[in-house]
Amino acid sequence: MLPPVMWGVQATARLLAGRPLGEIGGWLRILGLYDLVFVTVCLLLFPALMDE
Amino acid sequence: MTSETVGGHKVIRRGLVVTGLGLLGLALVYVLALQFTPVERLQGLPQKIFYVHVPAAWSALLAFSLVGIASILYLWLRDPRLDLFAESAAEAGLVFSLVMLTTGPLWGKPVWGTWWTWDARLTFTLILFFLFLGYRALRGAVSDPGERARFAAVVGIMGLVLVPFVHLTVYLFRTLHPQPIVLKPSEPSLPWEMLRTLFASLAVHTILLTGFVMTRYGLGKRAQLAGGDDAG
Repeated sequence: MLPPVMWGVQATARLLAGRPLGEIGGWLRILGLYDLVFVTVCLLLFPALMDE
Repeated sequence: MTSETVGGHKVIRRGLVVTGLGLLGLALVYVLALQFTPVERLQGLPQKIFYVHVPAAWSALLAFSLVGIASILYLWLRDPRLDLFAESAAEAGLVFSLVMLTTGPLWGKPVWGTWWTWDARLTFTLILFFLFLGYRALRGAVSDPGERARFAAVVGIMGLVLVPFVHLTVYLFRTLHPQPIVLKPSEPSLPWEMLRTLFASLAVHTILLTGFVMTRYGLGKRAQLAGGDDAG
């Protein structure tokens, strides 16, 4: 959970400081990619964590 | 002594031979890097750390990828050997990560002027290192071997998914960390003498990784067969 929280904080700090949107593009892109990948992986792996 | 125990000993012996070869190769790489490779014009001598740092990073990421692949296969086939292999690769990966995280700041201080910066690439690498420390801790915390293997496999797969992010960070962010110079869409941007030393070091580090994983696998096998479960 740590990476998305960090990126969220970084992106929000820049937004609140009135920095241009282009500057937070990297953070937003990786947040989106990370969410997509990990939601998929977690859904796939959840059954493996449950007792058979 | 059962044939399996003998098998465990054999893997340890072979692993130690491969590790020995790797260490010999490492000594040769040091000589090659210090004596027969030109000094980089802007960075000077600290650039030589590159020949240890990059291959250590390569071996760490390769080891963590192997953990992930073995973990996927474990969840599919439920073969305990795959779990032991994943455990061995994770420990070897931690060793190489430590080398990477030590040599990086040693290079960063003279070149960037700081030991550490909370840059995307560095932070991600540190998170990956902590994830596999957690993997080790998890293995030590669960006593049932089947449950331990299952839980560890899930964490191992998470690590595998993080590996491409580490490589992508330099493309996605404005980062202090240099852009890839070899693993990139266009041709490597290094002079031949430097590229040769880098490739030699990459090969040697891969041999060392193989030796570490084999030795650790053999030790784990021996511990399992000796009756006590190798408690992760």
